[in-house]
Amino acid sequence: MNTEIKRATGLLIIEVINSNPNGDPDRESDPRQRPDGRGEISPVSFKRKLRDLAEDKEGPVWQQLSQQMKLDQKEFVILESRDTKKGDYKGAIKKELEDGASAFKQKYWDGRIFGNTFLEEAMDKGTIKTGVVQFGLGLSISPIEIERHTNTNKAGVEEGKTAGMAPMGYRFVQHGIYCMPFFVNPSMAHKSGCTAVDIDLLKKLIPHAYAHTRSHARPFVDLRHAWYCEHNNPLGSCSDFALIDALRPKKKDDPSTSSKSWDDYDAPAELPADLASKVVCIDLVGR
Amino acid sequence: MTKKYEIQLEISGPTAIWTRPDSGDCPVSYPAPTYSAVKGIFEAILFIQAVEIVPCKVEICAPIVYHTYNTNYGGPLRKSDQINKGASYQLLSSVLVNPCYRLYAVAQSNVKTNGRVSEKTLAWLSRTTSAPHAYQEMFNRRLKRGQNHYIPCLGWKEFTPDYVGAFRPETRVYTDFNMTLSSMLRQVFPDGLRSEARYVFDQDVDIRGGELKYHPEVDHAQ
Repeated sequence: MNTEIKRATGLLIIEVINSNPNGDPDRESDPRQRPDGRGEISPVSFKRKLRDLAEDKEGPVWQQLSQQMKLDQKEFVILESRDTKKGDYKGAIKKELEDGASAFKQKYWDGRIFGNTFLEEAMDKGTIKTGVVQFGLGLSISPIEIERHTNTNKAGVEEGKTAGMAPMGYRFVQHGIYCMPFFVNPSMAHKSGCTAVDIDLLKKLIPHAYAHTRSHARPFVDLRHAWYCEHNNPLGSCSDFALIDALRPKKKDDPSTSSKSWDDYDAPAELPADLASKVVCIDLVGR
Repeated sequence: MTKKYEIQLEISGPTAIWTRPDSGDCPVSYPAPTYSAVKGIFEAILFIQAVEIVPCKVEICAPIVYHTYNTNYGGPLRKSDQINKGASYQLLSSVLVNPCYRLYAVAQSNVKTNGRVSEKTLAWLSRTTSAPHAYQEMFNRRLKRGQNHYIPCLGWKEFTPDYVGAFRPETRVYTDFNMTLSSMLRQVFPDGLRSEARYVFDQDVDIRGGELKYHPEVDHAQ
């Protein structure tokens, strides 16, 4: 098994059809939108999906990947868990943070890979809290159009009723192509405890991030491409931004208008030759 | 007169937050990066213990547009009652969208090593006649090749840039922007390597014609 982590530049090409890829709590869960009309997906939202897949130890994704990769589930616990219960953490984690936090680092996959703020409490300032993998904001290429529908709701939404209408309960983007960059910075690995196996798991989880976490609000959010460009050395063999620019789809007509389908874009199928010679570029989705 | 080893770069991205500490738990961004943020951006490209990066000025190269940005936190650092209710902690912030900056700094010998430079650095220093000169050369080489220690960020780690590199010919300074900040955080760790936190602020910071010049280093009151 490969034990060295190489620097990598990634780009997720996310297609959204009649779905809400990431609601904005400040605007009653409307899809997130910027002043220029473009849609947003927060990195926190995407990382949550990876965490949920890794945490669901009875789920098919973990079952299959853990068998395939021969993973010990005790080493792939999720620190930022939805299932936190009162008293679960503070005492236990404090103990795990003793002695250079070795038990802590060995236990939490998301702590190793995305970083964590708990290490601040370890009082060992030599122990870094920054993660190895850095996801950036997902932004739609063109402005998005938001629709709002009223839903019927079986759970009572009005006092004294057992069912009713949920006005504007379903808010969605008609169509959008979002690009989300991510970076693997191996310089942080020896401090957060991240290993090549952790990165391999990330690469295998990414294609399932949306397909296995679908919901009423997200019936069709999926990855068209998940580009992963591995550099030849830990410092980087070319500009990360040149790779991202080269792989980003371009809208065929006016980029200031919303798209209706994937056919509205010219999407690169590979890197241009000058960049392709500097990295090993694969599509994790494998289309 | 001591020779100055100047370094510069341009950085832009979809979103930035240069947190005003007075905005508490609903962070609001300054219009321009703090002194320590600029230092961190340069050091993400190249960090050498024997060299100190002294930010000089920043040019604002895009209109200042604020936008709300919210994130949910569902992890163990929530308060007990939030955990009991199964509620997420929502962090509401005011960020900048589509920012672009040109950053200027000087590399100089680090006099704040506090005797804590590594053996590797000491060995490197013994082979180098001018550490700042070497830094400048290595920095420019790395910037040109697109290499870095880690991807610099525009405030928070998740606000990744869409460009870091040499000045682009099409970039223009946003000269219409003028503002005076009564107080701006300068540094949290001004005392050098592995020092304790000591919050230092600059007062009456002027941004004129889109340009913010950082105050020369003085020992401000906390």
